[in-house]
Amino acid sequence: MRRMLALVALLPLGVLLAGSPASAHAALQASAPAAGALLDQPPHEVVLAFSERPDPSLSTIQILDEHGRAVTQANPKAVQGAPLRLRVGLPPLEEGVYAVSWKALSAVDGHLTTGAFAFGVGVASLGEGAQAAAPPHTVRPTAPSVAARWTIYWSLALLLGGASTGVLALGGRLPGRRWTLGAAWALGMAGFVSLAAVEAASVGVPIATLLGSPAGARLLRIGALMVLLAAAVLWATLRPGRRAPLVGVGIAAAGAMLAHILAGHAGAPASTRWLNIAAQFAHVAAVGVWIGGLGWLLAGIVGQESPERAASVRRFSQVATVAIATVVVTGGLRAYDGVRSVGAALDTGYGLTVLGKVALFLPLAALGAVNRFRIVPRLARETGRVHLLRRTVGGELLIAVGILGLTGVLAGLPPATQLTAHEAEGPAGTVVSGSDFATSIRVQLTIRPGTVGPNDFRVTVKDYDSGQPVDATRVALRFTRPDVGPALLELRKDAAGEWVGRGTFLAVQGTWRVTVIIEAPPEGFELPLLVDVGMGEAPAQDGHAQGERP
Amino acid sequence: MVLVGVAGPAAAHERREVGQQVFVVGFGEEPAYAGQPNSVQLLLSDRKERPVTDLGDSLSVEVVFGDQRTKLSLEPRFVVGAFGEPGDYRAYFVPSRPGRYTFQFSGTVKGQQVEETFTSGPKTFDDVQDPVEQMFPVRDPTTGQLAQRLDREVARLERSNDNDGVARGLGVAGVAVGLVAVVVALVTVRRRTRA
Repeated sequence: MRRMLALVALLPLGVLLAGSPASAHAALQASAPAAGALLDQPPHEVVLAFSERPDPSLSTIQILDEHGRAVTQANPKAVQGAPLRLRVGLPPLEEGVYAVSWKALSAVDGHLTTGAFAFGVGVASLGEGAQAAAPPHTVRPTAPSVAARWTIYWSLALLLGGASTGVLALGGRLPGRRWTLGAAWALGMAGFVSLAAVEAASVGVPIATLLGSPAGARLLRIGALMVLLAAAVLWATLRPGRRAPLVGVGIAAAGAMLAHILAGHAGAPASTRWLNIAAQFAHVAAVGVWIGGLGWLLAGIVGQESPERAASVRRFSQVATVAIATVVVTGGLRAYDGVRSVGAALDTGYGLTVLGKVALFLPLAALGAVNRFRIVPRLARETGRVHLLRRTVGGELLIAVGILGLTGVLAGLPPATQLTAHEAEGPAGTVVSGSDFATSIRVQLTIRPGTVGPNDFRVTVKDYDSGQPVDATRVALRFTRPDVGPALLELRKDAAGEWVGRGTFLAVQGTWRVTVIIEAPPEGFELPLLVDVGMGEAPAQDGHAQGERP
Repeated sequence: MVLVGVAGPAAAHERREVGQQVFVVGFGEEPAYAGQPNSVQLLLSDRKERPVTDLGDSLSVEVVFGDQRTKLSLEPRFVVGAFGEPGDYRAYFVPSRPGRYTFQFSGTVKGQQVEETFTSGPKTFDDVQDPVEQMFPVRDPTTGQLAQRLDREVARLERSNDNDGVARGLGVAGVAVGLVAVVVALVTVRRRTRA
């Protein structure tokens, strides 16, 4: 049993070693020029659009020519009015193939994402075997970063759990030595400093530079609350046996938890951001009350049994029951927000880690139930049962070691929903329509996602009067813009009147003329449509651009 | 990885070696616009780039658009030593619709059997385009588009007339039913009055 529990505690390490690499976080949504774009005219700038707000001061965009020489030394800047975008100006580029190598540090959660893509100027192709884009890569959570988070979680859990257990179950008096609370705080502070050092090292800047950036501001907020927490801990240490200092420790620990949450996944921009924060806070606080309290309970039941101790255990058990229920409900909400589907749970590192947490939580909850419904009632009636309680509480704490480790891994991974958002929800895309002068046919062109870069194209061709599908023999799209050479995409028939194709034809932002070529012998049609192409983070257009009739 | 599939602009003509000859084929006027006079152009030479000037009527070309096809004869557009480019043969026609055209050559060249097909496209020669996009300052429809529109409107008018006939018939039937109802009512009233 002990070996199994030890194995469980080591699970986070296994996940760390075997977890699949994350493919995005502050994910690149679109770029101008697009990956693989072949331009007639050199662009004046490179613009990248991300899913989360990048920190311009700690992010980089390097443009390299065919010989690997940097063509610009300028640092990227945020695009005014579009905080999700970074831009870098370009000098006049000669003909050739250029590589864009980028590194984006999320100002929301401090995670680093890197990637690269290529585009061409005045060339017919990127070259034999050339890749248009390397897959984006999120820097994986490292063992030091997981360890740092793990110590912070334990510290805050012990402090909040000590406060709640001391006030609600132990009559304001915590077991153990006077400096125990201070040791718990020191553990958290060490974790906080380690986390800042690890993040600074991953970006490649000194800690001071990191803390001076927008991305570092969230660390400073956590640090400030840790200092406040230190004051509360000192007060409780100097005034042992009183409830008020413990309440102060609890409030300060909860504040530090909230600051940590605001700097994590739950604090990321979303329509349900405050609901996410509330659920995450309730979850973390409940874990602190339960798991942190268990630590103090274990220390408190060492020694002789007594009716007072039995009463304390019963009171803690009642508090823990509420905490467990809160953990289950809020954990379910947070897991759903981060995963959303069985496929995402099984295919992503984030999903697998959530499943690992659930797998560990089940025996933990089972042990809690055994305590609540079997051992605690016996403590009041019989003597000699406290060793059973010590054993189960010890088991619970050992499993909690593993769960908090997995939580540290989870905090460093991009949520599965972020990785699968495009596939799961399906972008609305751009829809444009038009008809020919003769009012013979109606055409609807749907472009998904309708942004700069690779797109899916679907053309629906119907008779103007009857609305029946037109039996065309060929449908093609011709893309033209003054600064980009013409390109042709032959579509394949998907269904009656439905033609589809895919490619990176919309290479730059702006208005494109997309001419739909339809052959339905003896008739033939060309329908020029105007399409506005953006960078991706704007809401998808629906019927925004109108078909242009001759 | 994102694969890029960008087609380059169309080459003006397609060059192909056919036996001992070299065929260079395209539209006589490029870009080729629907509704504008044009021609199949064949620049015929041997492998040493010497023009073939004595083709006669041994070779013909069929122009294909979808399942539509028409056979045309090739004419020299030169007089050796007088005008034109030796080896330049044309088959004149007006491509009336935009899209992809195929030229199928059949016959003999210097006794050699020839069956060659050339199709317009990005890697060969220009497709026929709708000229409206290039018009300035006013974009007028082509004759073909006007004809298509006329066909459509005539068809709509005929459907409308058919609908008028149906409406008229329904109206007459309604009046007849009304008259019958009045007669029935009068008869009923008269019987009740007698009773």
